[in-house]
Amino acid sequence: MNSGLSTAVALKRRPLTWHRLQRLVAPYVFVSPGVVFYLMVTIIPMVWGFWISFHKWSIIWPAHPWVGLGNYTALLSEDLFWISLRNTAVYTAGVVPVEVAFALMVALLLNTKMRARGFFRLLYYLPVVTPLSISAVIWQWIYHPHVGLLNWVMRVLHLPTHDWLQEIGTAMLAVIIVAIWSGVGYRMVIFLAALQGIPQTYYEAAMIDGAGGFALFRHITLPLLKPATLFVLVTSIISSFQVFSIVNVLTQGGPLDSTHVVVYYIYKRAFGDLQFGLAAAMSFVLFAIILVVTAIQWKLIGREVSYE
Amino acid sequence: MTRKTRRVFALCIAALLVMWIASGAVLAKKTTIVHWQHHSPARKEMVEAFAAEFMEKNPDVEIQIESIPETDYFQKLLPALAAGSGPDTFQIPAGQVASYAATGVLQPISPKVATTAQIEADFVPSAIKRLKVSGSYYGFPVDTQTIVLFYNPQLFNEAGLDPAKPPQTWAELIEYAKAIHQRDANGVTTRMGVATGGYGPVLASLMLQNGASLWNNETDLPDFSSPAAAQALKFAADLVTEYKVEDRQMGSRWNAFRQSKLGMVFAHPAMIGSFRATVPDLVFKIAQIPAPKPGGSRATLLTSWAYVVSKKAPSEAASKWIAYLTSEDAQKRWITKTGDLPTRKALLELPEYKNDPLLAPCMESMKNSVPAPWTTRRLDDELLRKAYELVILKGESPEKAMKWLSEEAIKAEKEQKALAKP
Repeated sequence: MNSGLSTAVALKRRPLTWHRLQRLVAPYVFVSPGVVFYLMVTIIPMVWGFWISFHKWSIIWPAHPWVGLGNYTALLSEDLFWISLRNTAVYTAGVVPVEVAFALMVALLLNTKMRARGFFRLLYYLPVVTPLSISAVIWQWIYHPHVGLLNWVMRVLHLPTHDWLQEIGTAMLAVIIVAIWSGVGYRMVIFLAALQGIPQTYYEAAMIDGAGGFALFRHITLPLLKPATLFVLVTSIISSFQVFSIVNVLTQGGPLDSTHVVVYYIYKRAFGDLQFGLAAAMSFVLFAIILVVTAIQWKLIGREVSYE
Repeated sequence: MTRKTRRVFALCIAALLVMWIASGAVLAKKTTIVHWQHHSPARKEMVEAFAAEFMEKNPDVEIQIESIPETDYFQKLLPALAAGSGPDTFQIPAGQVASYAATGVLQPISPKVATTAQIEADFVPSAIKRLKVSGSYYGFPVDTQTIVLFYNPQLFNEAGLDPAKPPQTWAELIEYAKAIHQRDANGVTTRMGVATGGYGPVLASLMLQNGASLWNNETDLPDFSSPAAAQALKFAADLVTEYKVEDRQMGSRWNAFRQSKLGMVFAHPAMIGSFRATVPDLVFKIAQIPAPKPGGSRATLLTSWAYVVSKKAPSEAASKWIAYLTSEDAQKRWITKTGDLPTRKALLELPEYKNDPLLAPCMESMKNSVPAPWTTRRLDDELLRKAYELVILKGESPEKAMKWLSEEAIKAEKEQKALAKP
């Protein structure tokens, strides 16, 4: 701390040479493209969106009258917004725990010295890089009530068949399954990288002390995976709250709004009904919810663990 | 004249020469028209061909076409219009022309290309009704669609029905559908009688046929509260729940029809182009949609888009271009390639269409068409289907579903009207 201060004071006292100017300016020049880009695509639109949320705003109408909190209070009577919020919560509760647990399990398996490990890693990662439009076609066939694979399996097992994407009781489940299938691979890679970062010496020392497989997992693997788990959990919950594409291609929110999620509703209100002010207000309510949920997660499992 | 004066004089001549050449170059510069529309392969191919012909006839105009997938269309169009960088000509739903015009992003059709009187003399009234704002027309109709009944004559024959006599009434439709519908030993549908798909314009057409006006002229808002509208919804729902001749478990009705697993389907004439392109060997016929009772109304909802001109566009050239896209010659080609119905009066009575077994019922349906009176897109796209699903999935009574629909439709329409009058 002291040495840093003295260097700063020394730098201040020295005359401004070209070399010194370069050292002072260069870091800012290097970061500026990233900062400008981030400002342009994130910060400025965010501030602008917040501004829009206080106006009656139809994108092509030149006048944008100020309505104060009007859009936020209007949300209270938007039944479909609350239905969408509830559906989004159901979707998140269905996707995140299963996805994270499954990704961890697969990562643990693929971290062992098994045969064809590379092939299995590729297999689990493949859904991540498969375009959603192609995935949607595959899953629409799997879910097809007459010729679909899923109903064929149900018939073989003498279980009742369903019109998975068209029944109120099954549509959300069908969407959740596709989301888990397409999201596991990415989370698996994060866990795999974290697992490979755990020093082998911890396991060796614990084994000398007589620790078994489950004890190793519980007392070494799991605690040391906490930073990765936190990252995976936070990003999974955020992306679940922001789900759009899967719903858009598979169900368009139906049947009877049973898969209507918040971002899909925001999109429809903005680009379908030209209610950009209201849509912006919804976005900020969603932002506040995500912020609170993330803060809670951070508080609960945010402390890092190190055995150094 | 001194040497110096001569030099100044020569310089002035040279400067004038350069200016003349430069102005000539400016004058020779082409007028560029950027045209946007939502994408379908057949439509893109057609418009590109029209553009090539138009540019040949008008060498001073260059048309640049951008065909955008419908799912992304408004996401791209609206910000572009707001930023002033949008296209010169583009398409929007006819019901929304007034809203767009009110915001000032459109300009009326240039009177040098077509006057109000000419447009009214040339086009079918129902096709241009929504395009007139404050006495001026803001677009030409395109993608004009009614609802007709497609049916498979082979399945009619196999069911002992006469393909030359399509159903004329709702009762006959149920009778025919029952005859065609087949199930296997486990009760699983293998061949479906009929399908409406719960599609908004089909449901609205059934309601119109049954005498429901769907619009309250006093309040100037949608009205689905009449018993006639509820009866029509009940009829469509009963096909699924009561008569079980429409089975949603068959999946896409279009695929079922293509595979000859569906006897009759309510659809837009545009499906002619789609069926021909995807299954060239499929034999199908078309009839006007059956009436509720013998001799009853064959009314059908008319949905259409409009080609419009943006405020910033070169008025005359842009109007000329969209007039070309909707000219008699162009409309003749639209109908054969894409199934878009002609909206020019002269074409409806052409013998070549009147004698064409596929096109004749489509032309007749145009005469019975009623333009969708509402502005909100949610009614066609979403709300009518939801009312239908309330009945078939949740077992709500049609009356209750229609009450819900009325309330939601009024709310949606009021919201759109408020947008146009800030």
